[in-house]
Amino acid sequence: MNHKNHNLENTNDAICRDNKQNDTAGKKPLLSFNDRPTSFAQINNMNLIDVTAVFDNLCKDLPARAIIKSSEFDLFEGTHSLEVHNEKLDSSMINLTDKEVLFDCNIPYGESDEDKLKIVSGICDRLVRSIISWLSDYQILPSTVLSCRYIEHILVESESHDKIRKLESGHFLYDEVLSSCVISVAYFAKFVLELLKSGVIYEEEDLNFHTMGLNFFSYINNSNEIQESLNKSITLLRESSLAADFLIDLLNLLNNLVQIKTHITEYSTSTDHLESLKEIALTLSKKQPLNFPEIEGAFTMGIQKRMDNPFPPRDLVVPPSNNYINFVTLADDIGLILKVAQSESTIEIYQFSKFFNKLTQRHVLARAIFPLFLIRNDQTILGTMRIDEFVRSHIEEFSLFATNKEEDYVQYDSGIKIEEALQEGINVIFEMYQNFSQNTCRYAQGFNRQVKLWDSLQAHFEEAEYAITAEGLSDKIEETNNEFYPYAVWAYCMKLKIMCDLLLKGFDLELYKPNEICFLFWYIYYLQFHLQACLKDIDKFISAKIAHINNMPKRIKKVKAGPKKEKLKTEYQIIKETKLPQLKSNLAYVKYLLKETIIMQSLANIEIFQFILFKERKLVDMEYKLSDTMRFTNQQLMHNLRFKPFSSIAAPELFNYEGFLSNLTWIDEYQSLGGDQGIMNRINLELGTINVEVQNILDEISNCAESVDNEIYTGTRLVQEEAMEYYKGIQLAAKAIKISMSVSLAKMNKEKDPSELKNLYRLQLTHAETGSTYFPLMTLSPKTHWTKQDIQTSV
Amino acid sequence: MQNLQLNDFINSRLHVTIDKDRHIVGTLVALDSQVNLLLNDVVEFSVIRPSTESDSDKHEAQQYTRKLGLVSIPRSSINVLRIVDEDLEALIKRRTYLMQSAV
Repeated sequence: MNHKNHNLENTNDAICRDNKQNDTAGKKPLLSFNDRPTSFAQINNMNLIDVTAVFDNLCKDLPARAIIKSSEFDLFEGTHSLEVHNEKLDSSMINLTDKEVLFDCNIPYGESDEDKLKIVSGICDRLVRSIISWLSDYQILPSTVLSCRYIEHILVESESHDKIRKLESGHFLYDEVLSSCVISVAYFAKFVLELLKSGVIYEEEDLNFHTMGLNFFSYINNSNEIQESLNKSITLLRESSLAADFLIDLLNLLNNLVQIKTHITEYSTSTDHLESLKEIALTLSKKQPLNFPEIEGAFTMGIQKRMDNPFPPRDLVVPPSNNYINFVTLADDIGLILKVAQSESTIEIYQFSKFFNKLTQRHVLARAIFPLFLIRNDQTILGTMRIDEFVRSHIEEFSLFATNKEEDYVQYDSGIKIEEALQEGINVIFEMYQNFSQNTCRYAQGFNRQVKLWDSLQAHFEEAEYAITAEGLSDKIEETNNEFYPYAVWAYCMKLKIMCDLLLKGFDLELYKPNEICFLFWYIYYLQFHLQACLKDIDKFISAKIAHINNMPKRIKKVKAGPKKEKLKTEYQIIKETKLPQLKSNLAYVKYLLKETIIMQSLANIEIFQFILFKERKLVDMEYKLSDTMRFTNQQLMHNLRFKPFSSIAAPELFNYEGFLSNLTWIDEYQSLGGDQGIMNRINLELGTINVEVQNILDEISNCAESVDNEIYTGTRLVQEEAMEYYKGIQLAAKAIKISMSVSLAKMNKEKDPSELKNLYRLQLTHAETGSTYFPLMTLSPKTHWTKQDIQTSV
Repeated sequence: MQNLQLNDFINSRLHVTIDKDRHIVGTLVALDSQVNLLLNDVVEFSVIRPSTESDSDKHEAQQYTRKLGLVSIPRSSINVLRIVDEDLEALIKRRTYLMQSAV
């Protein structure tokens, strides 16, 4: 055996030596001995041996279903291959007209200057609309922007000269105006490519960027040349006698577009170009549709046939005439994310990040820019705070401020453990902020990952704080005399919130079936219960600190006049000014979170109550199933699968399937809950609670209260509209459940034979219009198609 | 060449002529008994010319070289299948060496 291996190695060595080539790295073939040809001429000069007959003869001897393949190759990959002579897969089979084939970019098409102006305006118009179609409608580059023959021409020409090359038709409308338009579009595409490469957004999911082997100005480092070219074109147009307002608007729009890059290169917060972009886009959208003459071949599928292309042919996309309006969305969303720079506290940054992309998935460019703008290349947050300071600041603005463990831990041996956990916190925070701007599906995936990260962080903080407490550094909750762990409670609360977010996101993504409502909302209630208990402890701790400070004057009063009293007075003034405002702010934020837990618990109850009403009528049960007739044989396995993201979480304990069932026996006690009326009364009660608490939060959000004496603090000043929409949506969802339930009850109670209900209706999870998609309504819909069971019955 | 087996050609660069205007070069990763080939890392050499003869006379045909990735070529599309002589020699040499070692 060894002998054979030895020989095989020798064989390979011999081959490598003989051929002086040993490129076995990556996926390159073992026997790639010759420099690859780059043209037909080179192929013709090669000594090629015909092996067609050899292959035919050898294959004859193979069994019909045999496949010979490389050991490194997975045949599954073969399903992605492009098949020669298959019209749907072979881009070489794209039929081009003679005009497309012979299209010359250096001809100034059009008889008169006016004709030329119309043609150039038409090309620029379609090109600019192609950009936004590509970015906003999930189109691909080759069928939009790159379908413009001028883009391909200029990029190829420029690359061969390592500098920007313009058209050479001899007419300024082409050589300057059209060239500058094409160049700025390509430069903007280069910027988008850079965003894509930064890893914040994902190819295919968020954006398609098939470069077709073109070099997008990798040799151009800044936009000066591009902007100069655009300005020159604008000047030329203004100086000409042509009526070129439309074209000038287009060039100005592009000028604004290329400046978006400054938000990640210079971290510019200026929104002038965005405002201008919006204004021009609105003007242009009002001018549409304009019927410019088209030159055949200017937009073509030709690039898919000529350039690198590992994809099947795609039809050209003719961008809709009204899609200039999408530039407004782009500018609005980028403008929104820049507002994060106005944050005055970490809570504001956190709340901003949490809300800006929560209800509406923001434009892909805004989502890509956000994390790069927030967490900068120099590892600072908004250029003002180091990332480790940012992590500390999260904890300080929640539970750490004015505790003994805030700073004194460094004097203890176990302090190093706190430092280590804080370092781990950097990764967790980084992951969390990256996730905030993801697309809605990645968002859920991110929560899934984060649950484990926060759990681990909590465990490390706990370990560190237990150790340091044992060494004598202690913080006590006065009321209960229990030890207070400011670092661990922060990680714990964050974890609980993310666990709930993950569960609720599933409703938003419509992942669940009606049968799962009860399990899921009971678990959400359970998590909120733990979160509430933890927040109450923090509330007690901070309240005691504040009370202590507020009582200082009384204590000072009792001290005899003299230097000691004066010293105490000075001390009080300092504490009052430096500690009290932050403590009050922390307390108000915790109280806001407490209100949220109350709302969430009430909503969870409402969801379970509606479930009970339908369950009583056998329209729903607690079984995991694919459909009414297709149930899973092992309920426990399905249950474990659904709750798998939480299976490794130490606290709070995740019940097993039986545990869930035993905690939910009360839902079968329909009569003891008061029947329909009793349950509806309970829904009303919960709705009342939700209304009060949500209104309280809405008032604070709309007032943007800056006073630290306010009862609650939401930190949503910069995302006021988005936060209000979220909480109003919650309020509306709760009301909608109540109304929908009344309607459903009336419908169900009309039926004389309740056992017939399940044959007449099926339950659906829906959402009220403008209501939160995180809290579904269970609605009845008539059974309209025959189920297998129906057919059997009728037969 | 008579000693070569199909396995020997796996991972070698093959030149496939589809027609006079289209030539494909790629690394053989799989094939079946009908000589349908699966080539990876494919480079295509093609000539794009206008359809009408009068235009063909006036204009030079345009040649393009481009990368296509993973491509399957049915036997019916293969006009000629070739390999660079040096590559073939290396395959034969390797086969001979292996056979001698086995003996």
